[in-house]
Amino acid sequence: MLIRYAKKYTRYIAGQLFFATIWVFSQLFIPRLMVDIVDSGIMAGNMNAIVHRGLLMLAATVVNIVSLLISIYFLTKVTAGISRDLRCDLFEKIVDWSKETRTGFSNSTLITRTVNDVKQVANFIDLSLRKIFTLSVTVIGALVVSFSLDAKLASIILIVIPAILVIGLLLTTRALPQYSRIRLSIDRINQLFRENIRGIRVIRAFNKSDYEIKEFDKATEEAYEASVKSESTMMLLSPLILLLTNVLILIILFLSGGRVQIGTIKLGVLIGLIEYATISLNNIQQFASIITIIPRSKVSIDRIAEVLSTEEILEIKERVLETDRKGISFEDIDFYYPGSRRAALGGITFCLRKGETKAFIGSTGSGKSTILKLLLRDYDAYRGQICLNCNDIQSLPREEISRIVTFVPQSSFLFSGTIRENIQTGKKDATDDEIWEVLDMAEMGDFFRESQDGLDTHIAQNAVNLSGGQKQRISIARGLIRESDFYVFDDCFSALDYSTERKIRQAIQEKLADRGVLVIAQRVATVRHADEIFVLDQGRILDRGSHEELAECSEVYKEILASQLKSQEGEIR
Amino acid sequence: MSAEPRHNGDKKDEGLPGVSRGVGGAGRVSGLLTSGNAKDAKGTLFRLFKNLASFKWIFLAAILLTLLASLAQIMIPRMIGQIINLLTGVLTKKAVLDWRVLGGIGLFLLALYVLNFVSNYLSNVLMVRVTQKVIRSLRNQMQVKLNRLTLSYFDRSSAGDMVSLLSNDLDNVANTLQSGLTSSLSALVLLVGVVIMMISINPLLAFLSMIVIPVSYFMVKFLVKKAKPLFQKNAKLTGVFNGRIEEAYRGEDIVKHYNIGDELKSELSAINEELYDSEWKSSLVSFITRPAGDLILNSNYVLLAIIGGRYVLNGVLSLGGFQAFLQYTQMLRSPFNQVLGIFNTIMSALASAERVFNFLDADEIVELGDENMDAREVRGEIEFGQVEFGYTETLLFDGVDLCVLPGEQVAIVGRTGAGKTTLVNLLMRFYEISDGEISIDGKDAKTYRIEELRKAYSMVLQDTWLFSGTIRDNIAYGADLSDNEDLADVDFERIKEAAELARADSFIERLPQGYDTVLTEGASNLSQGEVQLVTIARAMIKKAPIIILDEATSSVDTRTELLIQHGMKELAANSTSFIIAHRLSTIQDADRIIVMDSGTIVEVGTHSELLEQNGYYAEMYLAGQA
Repeated sequence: MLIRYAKKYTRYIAGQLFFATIWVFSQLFIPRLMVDIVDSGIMAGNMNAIVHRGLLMLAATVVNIVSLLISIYFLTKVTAGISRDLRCDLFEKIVDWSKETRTGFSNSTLITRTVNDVKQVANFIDLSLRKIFTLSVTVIGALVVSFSLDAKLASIILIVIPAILVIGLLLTTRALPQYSRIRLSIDRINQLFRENIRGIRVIRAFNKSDYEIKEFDKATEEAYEASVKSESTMMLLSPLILLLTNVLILIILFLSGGRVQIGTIKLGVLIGLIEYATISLNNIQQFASIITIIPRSKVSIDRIAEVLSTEEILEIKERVLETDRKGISFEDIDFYYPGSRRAALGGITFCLRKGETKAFIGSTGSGKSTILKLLLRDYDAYRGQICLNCNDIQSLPREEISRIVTFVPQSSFLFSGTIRENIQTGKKDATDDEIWEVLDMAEMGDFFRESQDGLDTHIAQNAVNLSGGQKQRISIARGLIRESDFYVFDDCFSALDYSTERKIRQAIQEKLADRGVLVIAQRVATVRHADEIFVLDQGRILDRGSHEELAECSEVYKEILASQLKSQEGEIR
Repeated sequence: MSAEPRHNGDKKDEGLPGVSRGVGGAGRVSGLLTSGNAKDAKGTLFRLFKNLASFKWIFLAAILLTLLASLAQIMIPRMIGQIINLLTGVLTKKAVLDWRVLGGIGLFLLALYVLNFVSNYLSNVLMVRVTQKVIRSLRNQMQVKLNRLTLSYFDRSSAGDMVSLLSNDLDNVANTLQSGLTSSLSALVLLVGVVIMMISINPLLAFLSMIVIPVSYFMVKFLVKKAKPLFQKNAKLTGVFNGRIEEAYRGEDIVKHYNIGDELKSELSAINEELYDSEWKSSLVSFITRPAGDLILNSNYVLLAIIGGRYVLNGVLSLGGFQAFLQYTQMLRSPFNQVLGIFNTIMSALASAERVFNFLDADEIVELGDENMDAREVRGEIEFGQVEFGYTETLLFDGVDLCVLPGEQVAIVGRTGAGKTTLVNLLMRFYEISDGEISIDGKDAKTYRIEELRKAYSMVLQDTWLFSGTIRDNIAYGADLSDNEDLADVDFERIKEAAELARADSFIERLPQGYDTVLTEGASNLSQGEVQLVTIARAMIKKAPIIILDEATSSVDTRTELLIQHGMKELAANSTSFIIAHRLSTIQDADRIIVMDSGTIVEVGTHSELLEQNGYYAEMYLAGQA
């Protein structure tokens, strides 16, 4: 998957690799020059040679730095670029998903994937292009130079390298499972602690402090064991490699001892070999520790790929023959939530024309909101047909559905920004007058008129500076400013007191007299003036009719009425 | 190392319960992430050492081993230099190589290598064990503390700050303890040792190689300072982007159904583009600092090679010395930066430790009584006698009297802030009253141990907290567990029965995994009403003589609410119950309705009595506000 993204940056990557190679070679050139300083300068008693090689060294240093800078420039462009492209593709995809496609992805995991996982991938690219590449080139280069200096001695280095690699891999693979254990247990520790704070009253009310302490102790014990285990293993790595390097140097020294005597090796070469041996083993060690990060990046890459490869499930079908069913029409709809055993809706049939007001009433979990989700095509029905203005809903693009139906959701989500910007989400070019009009209808006009900043009043993230009722009213205003044939209100009067609700409802009735209105509610007062009320229970329409009819013959409706009626006497009178 | 408790933590004996006093240093729990310096560095250090006291020998051993390892490491280049010298001698003077001398040095070197390896490894392993133990014990201490803190502490502090104490500050202390201390120590020893070695080889060269290090350090520091605004801008943009992404995903309903997806995408793209720009620039700058430092160090190396080479030619320096010297220059690079960093590291760890200790010093609940209670024997008669209480210095309750008979169903109504929940908080002894008496069955509640007292209550809180785990476990959580019992030991029949009573069974059964559905943190996969039903089921499983429902059904429809209340009446006909309701409609059948306003009970009576009185309740009722 990454390769596809890297393609766009082929030139940058090529540049980075090229200059990184120059960087490595100039780095390796310096000890090589030292060999000459010793052999043709010091040992030969030639000061000129020393200065000459010294100046070359200086030049190599400058080349070294310059190439490093250039390669880093390319590298940062590539990593930042790929991160940007990934983020862009992720949010463009996710924003368009229907709820059905989104099943199984919570908001928090989607945010993590767009933000943290992309960061992990950037780290991975940085590691592979910078570290892994330069480390390997360095090792190979160091070996090549060593062989050119003295093939026999250099072959000893060649023997040690696989040994170190094996040790490194052995240790890291032993420690690796512990790392995920550590991560899991630390996550659990933080989670338990956080939940303990959040639930402190519940924990105390149910005398569960001892239980929580016990659970927490288990988690810290797990973290302790995993940490000690992994650290004791990993702590072996670098001292062990240091030991091996040193022993290697010792062996080189001893072997060359005999050869110095017979004059087959020069001292400078010896010093150089020691230097190159140190460099290669050092790099191998870094290599071994970097490898541990790869599985972690793999998880992130997979998680991003999962999102990118999830295609929208709900297809837009060919426009079939137009039906004669005007308005909104549900025809014998059955629906199961993805993966669910029990039907959320069964045999739902109803229709709504322009100029009508209809309502659903029912208990928590009776399936009221689900009907709206199907109407907005968040999900496709399992059986039956939903039509919108004579078209099968499955043949309409989402934009068109949204143009026909205005949805006012149950959870009144507001964006951070000004109140004006929030209302304008409903209608992009809404004027201030229009905004005041809908705010007044939602009984929020006076609130903002009294506020210092008026329509520029800032709404914080998650609208923490507003009460639940205020949020609902703004959400209603945002819906009312839209132009559409149908308006659906999903239990969005629940946080309002009865008198405010009545005023808003009257304003809505006036403004939307020639449109179709669908209301979902738990309160009888909210639905009683509707042309037709559907009583929903366990996903089925039990009874339908006007308020008066239902109050007479619907058992469930009567029960609902009984639980509310008395308190509404004030309003009903 | 001193075991004396020299810290200044004010170990005060809690005076009047309920009267909130400034808590130790815990007032400054906000802004925890700023790594400010410890206010009382010395005291904190002693306190930290006290925590380590039981491991002091291991500590000492680790430090000793670190010293050994560093010393061995310092000796190594010198020994190699000697071998080189030996070989130079052979080469220049055509002398015969003395294998015994070479072998001797070689063996000594080997011994140094092994010493370095063994002591390095051992000291690391010791430190890991000790620090992990200390961290585990600190973590546990914090969690135990959490369960002993007064609730007013929670009222004053943010959860995020407390979690950050555990996840950031404790981590900071752990890292410093584990690697920071020994590696800084070894860096310091290396630095001093290497400098001594260099001076002993050639003082002038030593001087030359050292002046360059501070120069490179300050250059890097200068660059970092210059780069700071870039980093800040990047951090800010990242924050903006993350916030926008979160809103875009959470507001999916509006985004999709109001057709603003394209607009949003182009807005996000613009921020993303800006983020890209600042990201590559700031990471470029952060990379540059290293080559900049390298440039200086490398050119210095070249300089040393030329001058050193000249010295060797003139015979001032041996070739072995020259080679050793160059190796020492390389060895100097990293320890120097580490030693410079050590002060900051330790100070920031101390600041973290101080914050943790402040938390551990915060006010705890004080047990006032020590009597046990047999919950089955409780009849449920409750009396408030001249109860006084306030969350702050100002009293909210100024002499509240109330008497509830066994088995009575009492509803409490009133506006927000009237003191309804406070009444319940005092019953549960979440807070202690400052004067007066609350008695159960005629006996002062304070004479019981707090946990014993709470056995008598089954409560649904306004705050609907469920932990992440299965629905089944969440309901089982309400059951009393003995010490060795787990949530899994609670019979499923009991759980199902409780869920049925709470009218939660039917929706739970309809979930894909039924009772085994795993709730995410914050139970975001259930609707608010469903969450409330589960919390009611959790309370139902605990069959206590006194039941408290604090706005337990605010998001549940009225019909279900009534069904639940009827179910409860059957189940707990003899239980005394308190119902705080936000809707007047569902409590009209209560035996008694208590009307509260700003901390006082203004009216008491049945629904019809209160309507007849035509007072506060009637007014509220007719306005339909409640």
